[in-house]
Amino acid sequence: MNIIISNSSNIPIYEQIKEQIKNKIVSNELKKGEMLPSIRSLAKDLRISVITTKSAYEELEKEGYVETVPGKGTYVANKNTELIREEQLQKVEGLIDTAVSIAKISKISKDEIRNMLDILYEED
Amino acid sequence: MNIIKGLMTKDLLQLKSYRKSLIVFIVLYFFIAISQSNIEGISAMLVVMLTLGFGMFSIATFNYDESSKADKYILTLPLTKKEVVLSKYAFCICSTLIGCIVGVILSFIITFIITKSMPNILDILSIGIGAIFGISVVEAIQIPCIYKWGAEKGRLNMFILVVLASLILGGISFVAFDITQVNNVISLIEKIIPIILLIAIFLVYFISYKVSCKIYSKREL
Amino acid sequence: MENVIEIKNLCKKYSGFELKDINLNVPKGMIMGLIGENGAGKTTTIKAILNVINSYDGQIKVFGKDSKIYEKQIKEEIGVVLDDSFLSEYLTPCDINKIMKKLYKNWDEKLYFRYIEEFKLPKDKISKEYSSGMKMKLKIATAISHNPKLLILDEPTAGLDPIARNEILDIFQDFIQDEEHSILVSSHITSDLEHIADYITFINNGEIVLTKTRDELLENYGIVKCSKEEFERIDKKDYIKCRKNRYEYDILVENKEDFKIKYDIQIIDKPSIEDIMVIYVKGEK
Repeated sequence: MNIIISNSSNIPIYEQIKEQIKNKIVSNELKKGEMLPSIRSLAKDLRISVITTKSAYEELEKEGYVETVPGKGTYVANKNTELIREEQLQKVEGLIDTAVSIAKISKISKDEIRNMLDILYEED
Repeated sequence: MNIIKGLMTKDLLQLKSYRKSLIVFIVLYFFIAISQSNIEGISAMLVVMLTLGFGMFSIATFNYDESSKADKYILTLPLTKKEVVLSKYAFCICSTLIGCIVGVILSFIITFIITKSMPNILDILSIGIGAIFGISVVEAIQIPCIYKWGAEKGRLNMFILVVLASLILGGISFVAFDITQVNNVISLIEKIIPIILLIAIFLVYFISYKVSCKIYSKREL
Repeated sequence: MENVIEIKNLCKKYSGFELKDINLNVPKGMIMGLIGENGAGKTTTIKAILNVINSYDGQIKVFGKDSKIYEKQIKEEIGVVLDDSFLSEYLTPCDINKIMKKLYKNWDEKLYFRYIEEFKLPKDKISKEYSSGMKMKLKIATAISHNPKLLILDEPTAGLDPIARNEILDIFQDFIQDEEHSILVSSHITSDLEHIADYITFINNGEIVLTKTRDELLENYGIVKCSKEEFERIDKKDYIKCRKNRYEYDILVENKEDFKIKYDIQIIDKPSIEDIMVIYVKGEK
């Protein structure tokens, strides 16, 4: 599992960890029930403070992506994949909404946006 | 008890680098002694010098502690200031005793080599006790001084003290000679002096230890 | 959260220096970094915890116990590394083992030699011949081989090169893998603590200026760069200190996002601990 931390980024480190683990769960790279590294060993491997990894895990737990069994460890939660998809879909919708409203103000046509979308999708 | 042993082990191991010079010191004295003719004077001198030498040598542990500033670190270990002071006294006393014993043994050997007969144990022992008394006075003044002013400043005092001590020692061994030479005349005093000295040695160390404890407990590190 | 060290109202007066009302908690399982200039009071605070200084006002509890009454018991469970004081340099690691196994009840000879091997220290060489990094590793090996629950280190990285410093930080993070273990470490090299310390306490001039989690300090605090004119419209209560340079003003603020919204100033830097320290000491209000 790769987790890449940038110290110069404006995004707080715990947030970087949280987002990356979340992405791995959503993309199914981390499977349901799979055990995550302990906060202490993750902190050591990333050379960051324990409290940082701890807050990342706490946030993930709050959002229901992981579950902590006291004395055992942290596992990927049995969160409904449908539900995750739903959440992601809502997020995408929100962003497109913003894009469309900017486009409307600047008189950018639907086709232009579609083109843009096609090109962006082809990338990667 | 383990703590005291541990601290004494530390002092002993610190002085490891002195081992060679110590052996050279003993061998040198042995040969100086062997080349002399006045056998009784030589035995006395050997005992006195080795007792004195070993006593001074043990004081050097303070210098090691000071140069590595070990005191502060040692006090972070699970022990008390009293135990630290006690271990120093125990080390100095043991070292002095060992010096005296080595001196006695060597003077036995020398006497045997030269005269082919055993020397008078009591004579040599009383000289030894005299020497121990001498060095105990030096140590008893020196150690509290070191606790008060540190080993560096204490060194100045040490020179003054050594001069003083050798005068006292010289006097005592001179007295001891006289007794042995005039032999049977004052055999009564000969028997009493060592006992008085033994008590004096004990008292001197005890008072000095108490003073050192007091000084050390107040010292800022 | 349980605290391994609790300092309440610690005061200590020397001629020319004073420790003023220090209150400090070190939570269990965490690394607390004590930062400040040389002579700010870090070492005195550490010496007070260890009961090495004579008398002080206030109360110190270690593992929930009064540090004066239970001194011996507490010290069995603490490992200490001091910047300027250790056993004589004429001792070898083997000698140190012989000494320490008599001084600590829980001394673990096997563990000690495992560390000595791991840190690549020659067993039979006197430490006088070691490099400064090796000397520090020997001190640390000696401090952690009786399985202490708390490690107290005064300036462990001072005078070391970056590689050695990094190795030392690795040792700390290994130590902290056991959640019963905690570390209090002082340093004036703040970049070392920036990454691994969970909490940062900043001492200046004998007083504690702030105690924060690392994330609060580094993710929330900001340094606003602005002109004199912009500075003049900023409310005094919205910033901590300001350092006035000839061409720009550097303003330390507690929450950069809030500040951004309120004043619409765009240039806000993410500070390093060093930046925060410098503005605190040099800046004005």
